[in-house]
Amino acid sequence: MSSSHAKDPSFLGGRIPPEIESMSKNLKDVDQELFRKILKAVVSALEGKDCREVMKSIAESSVIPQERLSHIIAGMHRVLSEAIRIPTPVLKQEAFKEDLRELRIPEDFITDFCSVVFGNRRAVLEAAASQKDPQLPTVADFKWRVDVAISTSSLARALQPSVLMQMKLSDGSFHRFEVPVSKFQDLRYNVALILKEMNDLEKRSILKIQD
Amino acid sequence: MADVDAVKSLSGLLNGIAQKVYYNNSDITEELLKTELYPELPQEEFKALHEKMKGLLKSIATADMDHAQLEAFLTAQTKKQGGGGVSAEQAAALSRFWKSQHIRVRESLLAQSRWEPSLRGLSWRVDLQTATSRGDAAHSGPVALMELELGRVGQDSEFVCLEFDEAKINQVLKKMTEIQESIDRIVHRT
Repeated sequence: MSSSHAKDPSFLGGRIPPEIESMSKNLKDVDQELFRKILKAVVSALEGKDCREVMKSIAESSVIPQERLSHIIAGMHRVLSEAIRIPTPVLKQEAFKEDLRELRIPEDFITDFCSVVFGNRRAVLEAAASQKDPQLPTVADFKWRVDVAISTSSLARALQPSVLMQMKLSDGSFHRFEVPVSKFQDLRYNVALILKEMNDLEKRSILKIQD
Repeated sequence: MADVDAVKSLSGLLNGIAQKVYYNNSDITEELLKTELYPELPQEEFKALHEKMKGLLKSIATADMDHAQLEAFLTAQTKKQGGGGVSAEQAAALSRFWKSQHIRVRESLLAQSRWEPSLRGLSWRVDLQTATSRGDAAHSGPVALMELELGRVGQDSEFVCLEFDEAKINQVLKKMTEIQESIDRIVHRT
């Protein structure tokens, strides 16, 4: 029995992404200082920061041709993205190192990768990654007002309370609308029901996906 | 026999006027009402009847009369001399009509003074994220998706889709409690 049958599949899955394969081919002649510079910039990028200036200065100050650099950067970005996707209970450090060794990545660089994936920067990277998920807008601001229409052009004695709501959403849009008192009761009841559902969901431990 | 028909026609007329003026039914026209309800009546007489009933309904509706006020009003109208008064029959028809329709008419009038879109409906669901393409979803909690239906009278609805996590729902619920307290204070006073 060959040893490859006993090993779990790589954290990268069945097929190694092409940018990672080409990265390992291009890592020759890259010294640790340069590697660490690029790694720092890639981590910044994953956190959502703009690193065009940094990348530009790396490209200008290095002897390595730009095309090779772009393969390296793309590969490093992919390695980190894939590693961050997998929750830490599942991704074991030793297995991760083995997978990278199989890609013929030098040991020093493997250590550097580990310090990002298993270090204290990880939480920030995970938070930044979840921002990029498909999302619906959320309510950024919610103002309200209770009005009583005393009299109108159509009704001399209205005496009708109603709620005016103004919501500012995370996508920048505004929605202002009126909620008649009866509809408001409905709305309040439903929101309370939603909260109850959410609480019940958390209590049901079978839905906590354990690895 | 004639009396029953007269009563029916009058009720029909009042309902027709309500349909046109208060319930936004554009199919009802004055000509239609005449043809259906008073085919034998001369044109000017029908017009006069129509205008009179319309005017009376308007007074009753604008004042949002309660039972006592309506009785007083109708009694005064029956006592009027000349052509301006109403017959006992007409008063009875108006009274019957208002008893059954006043809530609906009032709603319609209130809606005429609503210029903002109102909340017409709400649907929601609670999801639990199990996986996402870019992040670690195992740590995220339940997510509520809400769809609000907003619209103005006579216009199509706009649907607004929103997402809430548990903390946000809690915040919103707190605000709703504040709103309820505010409403209770006002309703108590009036």
